[in-house]
Amino acid sequence: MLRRVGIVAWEQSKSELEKEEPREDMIYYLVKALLEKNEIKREEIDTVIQCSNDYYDGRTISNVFTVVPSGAYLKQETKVEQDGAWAVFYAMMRIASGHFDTALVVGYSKGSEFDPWLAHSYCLDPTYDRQFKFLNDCSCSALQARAYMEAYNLTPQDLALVSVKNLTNGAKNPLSARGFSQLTVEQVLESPLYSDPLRELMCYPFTDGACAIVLASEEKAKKLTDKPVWILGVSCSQEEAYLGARDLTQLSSLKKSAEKAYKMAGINSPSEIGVFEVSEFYAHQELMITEALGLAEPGKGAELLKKGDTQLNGKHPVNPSGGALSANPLCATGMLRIMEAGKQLRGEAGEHQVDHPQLALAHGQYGICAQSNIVLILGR
Amino acid sequence: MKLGKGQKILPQARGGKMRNVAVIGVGMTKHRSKRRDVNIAELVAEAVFDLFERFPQIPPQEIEAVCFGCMHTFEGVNQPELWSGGYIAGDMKSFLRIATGGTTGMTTLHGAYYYIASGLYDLVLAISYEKQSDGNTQLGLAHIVIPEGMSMMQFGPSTGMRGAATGGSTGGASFQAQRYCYLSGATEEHLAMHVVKNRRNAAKNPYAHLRMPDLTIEDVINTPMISYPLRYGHTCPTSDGACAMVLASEELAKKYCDKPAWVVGVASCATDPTFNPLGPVYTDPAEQIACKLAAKWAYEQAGISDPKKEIDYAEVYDAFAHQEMMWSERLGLFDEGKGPEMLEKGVTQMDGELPINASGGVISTNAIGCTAMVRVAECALQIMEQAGEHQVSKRVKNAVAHGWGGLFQFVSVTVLSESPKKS
Amino acid sequence: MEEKGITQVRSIINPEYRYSVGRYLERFYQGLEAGKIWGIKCPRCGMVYVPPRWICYKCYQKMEEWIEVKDRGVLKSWSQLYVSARKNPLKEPVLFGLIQLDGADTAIYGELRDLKPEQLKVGLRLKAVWKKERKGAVSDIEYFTLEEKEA
Repeated sequence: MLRRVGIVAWEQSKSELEKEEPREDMIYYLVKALLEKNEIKREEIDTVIQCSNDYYDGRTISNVFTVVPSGAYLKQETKVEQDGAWAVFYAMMRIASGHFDTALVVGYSKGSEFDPWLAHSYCLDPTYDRQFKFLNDCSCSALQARAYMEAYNLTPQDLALVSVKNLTNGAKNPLSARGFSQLTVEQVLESPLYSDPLRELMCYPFTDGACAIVLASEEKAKKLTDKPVWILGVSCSQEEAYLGARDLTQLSSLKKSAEKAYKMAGINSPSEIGVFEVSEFYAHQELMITEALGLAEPGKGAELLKKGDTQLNGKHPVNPSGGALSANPLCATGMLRIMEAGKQLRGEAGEHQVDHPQLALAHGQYGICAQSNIVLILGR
Repeated sequence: MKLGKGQKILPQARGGKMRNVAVIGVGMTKHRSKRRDVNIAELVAEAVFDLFERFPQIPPQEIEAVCFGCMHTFEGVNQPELWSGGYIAGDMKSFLRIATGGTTGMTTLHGAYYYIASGLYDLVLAISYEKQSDGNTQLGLAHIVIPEGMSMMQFGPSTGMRGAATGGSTGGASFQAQRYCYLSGATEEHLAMHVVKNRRNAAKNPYAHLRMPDLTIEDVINTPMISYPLRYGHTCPTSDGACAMVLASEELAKKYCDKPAWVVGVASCATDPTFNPLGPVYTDPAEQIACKLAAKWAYEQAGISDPKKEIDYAEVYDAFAHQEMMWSERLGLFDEGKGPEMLEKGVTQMDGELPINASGGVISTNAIGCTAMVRVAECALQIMEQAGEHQVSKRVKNAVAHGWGGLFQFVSVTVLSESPKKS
Repeated sequence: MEEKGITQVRSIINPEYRYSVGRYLERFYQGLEAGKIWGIKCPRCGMVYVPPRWICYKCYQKMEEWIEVKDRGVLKSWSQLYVSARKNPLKEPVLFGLIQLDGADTAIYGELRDLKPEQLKVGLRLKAVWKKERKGAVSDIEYFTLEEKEA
C-alpha cells in the first residue's frame, strides 16, 4: 500500500425495523451529525463513496437523489453496489493512492420499504435457478444450514445458541433494531418456522438504517482525531454462485479473504485479534464464519460457542454489538461492523465493550449464502 | 503503531510519488440490438475472451481483481457479478462493483485504476456490460423517478418531470438540447450532421451497433419527432454489449504490453439532479458544471494546461445529437458556443485537427452499463494504434474520454496518454 | 378528527423479463423435453456440470464435451419452505433439495415428494419423476422421490 489509511470518525442512524423518515432525510441528518460532532467541514471531504442497491431502493441509479443529502455536491462521488464494507475498502484505496486525503462513505437501506428476500432472489440465475419457485434468500440459506448441520452432526439447538448470544448482546446496544434482555433456546425454537431449520429468530430482521464513516490518510487522520483506527489488513473474495457447485459446508471465500487479510496485517493467528464483528445474516452462518476465520476447526464452531469463547467476556468475543441478527440494514451492515470494531478499539462501546482489544476484525458479506466476503483488520 | 510484517510500503510513497497505471488490453463484444444467442454471463465472457485473444501476452490467471460495472435493474438480475464471476477468470478473486448510471463504465474503470494506484494490486480486469434485450430499459429509466412520479400524481407534475415522464430519457434530454441550441446557435442541421458523422464512422468499427456508411442529413431529419427538438434519428440505440479492459502497474505494463496507454487523469463530479421536482432549485441542464470541474481535475492530474492544444483525440458520451458539441465545449476542447462551428468545419472528423468519436460514439452504440468504458477503451486503442479501420489520421499522444449519467448530473472524465505521468 | 400523516405510498414494480438462456441451457432444456439430462465436462479438470454451461469456473476453460447423466442420484441438502419471499405463509409447505445425479459433479434443484421429512438425510438415493407432457422447462421433472429398492 502506498500509504496508511485510518478511520477517523463514524456515525450511525439508529437501526429500526421501520423508520418513518425517507432515505434522503435519514442520510442528511446522519452525515450532518457525523460532520458536526467531529468538527469536520464538508469542504474537507475530498471524495464520497455511497453504498446502496437499486433493488433495495426500488429505483434505478439509486444515488441520483442522495448526492446532495450525503454532502457529495460538486465532489468526486461514486457508488459501490455491494455491502458498505466494500465501499470502505474502495475509499481506502482512493486515499492510499495519494489522490485523496479524506473520504466519506455512506451506506444505507430501508428494509421496511422493500422485500429483502425477494430482492435477493433476483441474485439467482434467471435462466435456471429462478425457475424454481421455492428458492429465495431464506430457503437457499436453509439448504446451506442443512448441509452444514448434517456434515457435522449439529442440531437446531446449536443454531439457536447463536441467536441467544447475539440477540441478548443486541439488547445491550441501544442502536440495534432488536434485542432481548432475556432469551432462551426454547424461545428461539418456538419462533415461526420459515424454511427448515431456519426460524424467525435465526434470520436477520428487515431493517432500516444507515452508517457513515470518514477515512483519512495517516497524516490527515492524525490532524482530524487523536484516536485514529488504522486499517492494517483488508481482503475480499467472491466464490462461485451456483449452490449446486459450491461446498455448502464451508465459506471458502471468507477463508481466503481472512488468510490474505491476516498476512497483510502481519498476523499469524486469529487469536491475536481481540474482538470480531461479523455479518451473520442467518444463525448458522456465524458458526461457519468462526471456522472460516480460523477460530475453530471445521465443524467445531458450535463447540467454541458452547464453551463460551465467543461470548462478550469470552476469549474470542464475536458480535458483542448483536451482529446482523440484531440489525441488518443491508448496504450499511458491514460498515456497522467496522464502526463497532472501531468503538471497541477506542473503548467506546459502552455496555457491550469487551476487554482491551488491540486488534479487531470486521467482516462483511453479500450474495446468496455468503458467496462474497470481505475482512478488515483494524488496530490502534 | 508499528506496521505489520505483511504490509509493504512501496518506494514511490517516500517522496509523495504516485503510481503509474496503464491500459494494456481492451476487449468488446460486437454490439447488437438483441443478443438472443447468449445469456448475461456469456455476453460478459465474450468481451473478456475478445480481450485475451487480441492481447495474448496477458495471462488470465494472473489477474488479481475484477472491477465490475452495470446497471443491474435494467435486466432484473441483482448483483450479476456474482453470477458472472466464474465466466471471466474471476473465481475466488477480489471483486468491486460500481453502479453510477450512465457513467458506470468509466467509474468502473476508475475503480480498477484505484485498485492499482493504491499499491495493493498490480493487474486488474475492468468489465462492464448491458443486455437490454433481456430487460426493459425505458421502464428501468423511468424507475429513477418512480417515487417522484407517484408524488407528482398527488401534487401535480413540474415542467421538467413532464418531459421525463412522457419521453423517458429523450424527454428529459430534450430540455438540455433546447438550452444548448439556444446558447450555441446549433440548428436542426447541426444535430443531423453530428449523427451522420458518427454513424458513418461507426461503419468502420466492427464492434459498433448502428453502422451506416451512407447515412445522409435528410435521412436523419425524416424521422419522427420524439420530444422537440430531438427526433428518433437524434437518439442513441439500445444495445446489448460488454466491454473489458485490463489495467496494470508500470512494471507489469512493461512486461505484458509493447505500447500501453497510460491513465494519467481520473476524475468524476456529481451535482444535484436536474429537474428535481421536490426542490426549489432549477439547474440549467446545459451548464454542466460537473463536467467543467471533472475535466479541470483530470487535466490537472495529467499535467495538461491547455486541452485545446494538448488533447489530440476525444471520445465523448453523445447519447443525443446535441451532446457531442456540448460536451466538447464543457471539456474545454473548444470555446463555449463553438461546437457547431467545429462540426461544420470538419475539425472533429476522423481526419480533422481534433477528431471526436471515431468509434461512432454513443449515438451509434449504447449498452448503458459499458458505454462509458467503451469511451476509455476507444481512446486507449487510438493511442496504442490498434483501432484498425477507424484509427484516426493524426498520431494520438493524449486523449480524453468522457461519460455522463443520472439525471444529467454525473460526469466522469479520464485522460490517457502515450507516456506515464512525469511526476 | 385526528390528522393522519401520509408517510408512505405503495408502488409495485412488476415488469416481466424474458431472458436469453444461451446455447448451453437451450440444449439442456431441449434435453429435458426429450426426457434426457445433459451435462458438460471440463477438458482440464474433468468436472461434469449439470446444468451445463460454457466455461469451467475453476479452470477458465471453454467446454464442449456433452455427457448424458442419469435421472437418479444422491440428496446433498434439503429444506421445507413455509413462507414466500414476502414472508406470506404458503398454502402447502414445499419440500425441496439439491440432488447430485449419477455422473454429475454438481447438484440440481428439485422438489421432493412422496416421502416424509424424517426420511431425509444427506446421501439418500432419489430418482426423478417426469411429467408425461413436457415442454422444455425445469418443470419437466415434476419431483424427486425415493429410488425404489431393487427386488
